[in-house]
Amino acid sequence: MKKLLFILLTFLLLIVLAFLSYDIDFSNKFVVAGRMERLVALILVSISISYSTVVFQTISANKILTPSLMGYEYLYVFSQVLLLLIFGGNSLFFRSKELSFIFASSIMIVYSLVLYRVFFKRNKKNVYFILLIGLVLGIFFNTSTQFLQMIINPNEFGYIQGAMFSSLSRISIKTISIAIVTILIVIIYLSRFFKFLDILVLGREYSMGLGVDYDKIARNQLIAISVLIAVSTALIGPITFIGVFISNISYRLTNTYLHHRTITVAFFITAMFMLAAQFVIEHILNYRHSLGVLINLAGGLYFILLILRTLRTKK
Amino acid sequence: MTKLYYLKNKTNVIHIVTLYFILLVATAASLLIGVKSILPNSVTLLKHSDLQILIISRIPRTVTLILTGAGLSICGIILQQLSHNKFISPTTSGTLDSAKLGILFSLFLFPQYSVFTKLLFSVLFCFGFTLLFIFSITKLANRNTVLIPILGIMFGYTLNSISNLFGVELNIVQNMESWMVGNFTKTLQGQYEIIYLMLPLFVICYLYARKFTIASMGRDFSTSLGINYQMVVIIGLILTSIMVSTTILTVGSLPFIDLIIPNIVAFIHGDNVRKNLPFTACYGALALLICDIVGRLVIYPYEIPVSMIVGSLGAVIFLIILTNRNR
Amino acid sequence: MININSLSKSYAGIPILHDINLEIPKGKVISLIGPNGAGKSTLLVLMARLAKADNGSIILDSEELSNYSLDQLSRKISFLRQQNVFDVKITIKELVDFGRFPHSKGQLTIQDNMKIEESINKMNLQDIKHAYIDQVSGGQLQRAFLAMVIAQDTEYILLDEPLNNLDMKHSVEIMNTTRFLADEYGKTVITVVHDINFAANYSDYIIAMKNGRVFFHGPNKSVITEKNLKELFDIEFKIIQDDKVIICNYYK
Repeated sequence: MKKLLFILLTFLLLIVLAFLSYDIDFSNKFVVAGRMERLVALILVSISISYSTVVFQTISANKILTPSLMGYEYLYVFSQVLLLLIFGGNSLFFRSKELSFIFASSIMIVYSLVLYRVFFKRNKKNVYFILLIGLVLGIFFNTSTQFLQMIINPNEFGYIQGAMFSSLSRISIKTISIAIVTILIVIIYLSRFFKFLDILVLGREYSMGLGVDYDKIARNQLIAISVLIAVSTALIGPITFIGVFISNISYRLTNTYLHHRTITVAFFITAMFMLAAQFVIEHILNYRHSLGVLINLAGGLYFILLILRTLRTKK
Repeated sequence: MTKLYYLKNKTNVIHIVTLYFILLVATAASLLIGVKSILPNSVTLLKHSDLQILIISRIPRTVTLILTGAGLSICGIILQQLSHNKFISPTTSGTLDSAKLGILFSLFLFPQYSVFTKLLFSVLFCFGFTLLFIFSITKLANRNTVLIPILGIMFGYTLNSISNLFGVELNIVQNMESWMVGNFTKTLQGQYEIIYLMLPLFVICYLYARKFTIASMGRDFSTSLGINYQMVVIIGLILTSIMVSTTILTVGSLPFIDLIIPNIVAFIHGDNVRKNLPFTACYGALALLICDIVGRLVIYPYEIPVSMIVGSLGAVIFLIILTNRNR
Repeated sequence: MININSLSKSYAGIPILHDINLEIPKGKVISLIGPNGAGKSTLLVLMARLAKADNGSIILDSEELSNYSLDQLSRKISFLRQQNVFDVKITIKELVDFGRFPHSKGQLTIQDNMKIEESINKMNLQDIKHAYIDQVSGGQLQRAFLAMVIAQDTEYILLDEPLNNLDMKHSVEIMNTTRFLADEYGKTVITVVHDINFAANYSDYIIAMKNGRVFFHGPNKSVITEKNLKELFDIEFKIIQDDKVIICNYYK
């Protein structure tokens, strides 16, 4: 484990170094600051994604799911299109990054709270069920967005295309500070439950038998996860599939159920992957594609690989 | 016993007759309603211009609506059977997204070619990816009814993310989104005829209906009844691929109708595919006709694309079905 | 001692248990027997407080079960489920460690480690304790879970069909362990058993259930009779007995 961490840390530092210093004029403060901002944003997102995916997979007892599937990205794009239609491309929402960040993350948090509240009551133990509901709502938002897109004039469509794919164009020092504070609060809140996480793999009955209030902890975790996902989606945009990808690699590398290990390794992999992808976008693709497209492609291909692997296993 | 069967049969017949009568009324309404309304009493002495409207736009549109609604619902019922899951349909197994990817590929490789090239690519992609999905899930250890459609939708997202990459590369994202939106305004004389492909397919589906039911009991069961399971699955998927591709090319994607209609029919009439097929087709056609008429009337003289209505209503109805089944 | 008073439970409108009244003695091995669907597992689940009863009460050592905190209860009662399938990378030793969680809250003490070693030895898992649970056989996994329950070291141990999927040798081992737990440590073991001969030979007390009701109950010797068993299972029984074993023959 120590060796693994050492290797990962070295690689991460190398990538960070490359990300910050490649082809740069250090006298240009603006460029340096920009790179720092992007670095911090990606690290924050990596923390959120790795924690929320691993814990979500523990609660749902399934390693090919991710909480990002709950329709957040479509809700996000939908809300952006709505804003554009109502207020227009020149409105404060599109000029102020902070305002649109706060608006987007709060709408996603409210959405998941409502979802959990309504469906946890009816159907206490089934995370799959909530996930499917979220997915269907996602399709609903998507259809609505498609419709609204048709009536938007093509000039304004540019704003939306920006929202459809994740990119780092909308971060600023202020949005990052808000994100840091939010994520910090969530993590401090969560730290009380860290020691129960490992027990949750045994499922509801055994957890209860060992004196752990499974329902309460699962609920709190899911709510915290939704905040983390909302903040990271609002920060850099939709990032659906990366979770499945990084968590499974982490399980392979660590070969354990212990969350402090799987989450840590997952974090390193996410950060490395995201920074590398962003590096490629900036210096090789010249911004022709956005981060989200690359990430979803890689994550999606990995997902197909997982599905293909079931074909080879005998029943 | 025979008497009971006879009675049951009789109510069935009454049921079908009523349904088809309602369908007829809806068809008439669809023919007559529009920006330029055609009044029923003038039908006997149709003006030349009215006749033109009917031939160029209204009849193609109504025919497409009926065939699409029926076809998609039938696709839904076939996929349900083949995947042994009530919640699997083209919407929830990545089929719609693979058709989109296929069409994009043909645009990318052969931009100048005709609609048949697109159809071919779309069918190939649909068939390949849906086959992959269906065979994978039959091997899955955890066959939770709710998990399978989640995986299907994820699969669709994956394919969609590949499409998006292409879309950005070719700079046709908005264009791509707009032809994926299910919309019947583009079904005009000279452009919609491909939808008639549906008719022979319906007949084949009906002939194979019993085999689909048997295949839904699983490989071992089918084999012991002397049915080539793999063959039936492949035929079912080819049929659905062609039907889905045809509708996407003529009208765009219409989510949920394929998922909901079979569930409603099964709720009312039970699970016998062969018996249900005429009902399914009829309910599907009716649902789509009504949604389209509503779409034409709500913001008259403009139109709301039918996929918008189907998608939002469909999502809500699906959520209701889901919660009721899982209570 | 567990006292159950007019307990009833239904799922989705279908009654599973009707008006159960029982007094379960302490420090004994108690077998729950009866045909499929009699409500044995449900009764066990209610005693472990994994579900709530519709009516009636369960009194555990003169205190209402619902008055215990989750934490207290986890040091009082442990429960072994019927099916244990997990898709997690977890070793047998780590699984048994979980049993100490109610006592140590995650930080294992020397005493905890002793308990863990002891239960691993007791269940003969020494050689495979570092194997992952998805690599071992069904019988080994069953024993690993039992080891976790033993490590939990509770006064009451509830087992739901512990002999499921086990061959004869391991079944005998498990039943001997329950005996040992009761005789040496004074534990109360309540177990659902399908094999009537295991119930008759290894337990002190029998509770027979049928159609959601208690059909008969009492010490082994007094309730294992041909008449009782015939009425319970609706098949003919012939009891063959000497001073060591009792065989309930229902073959042919």
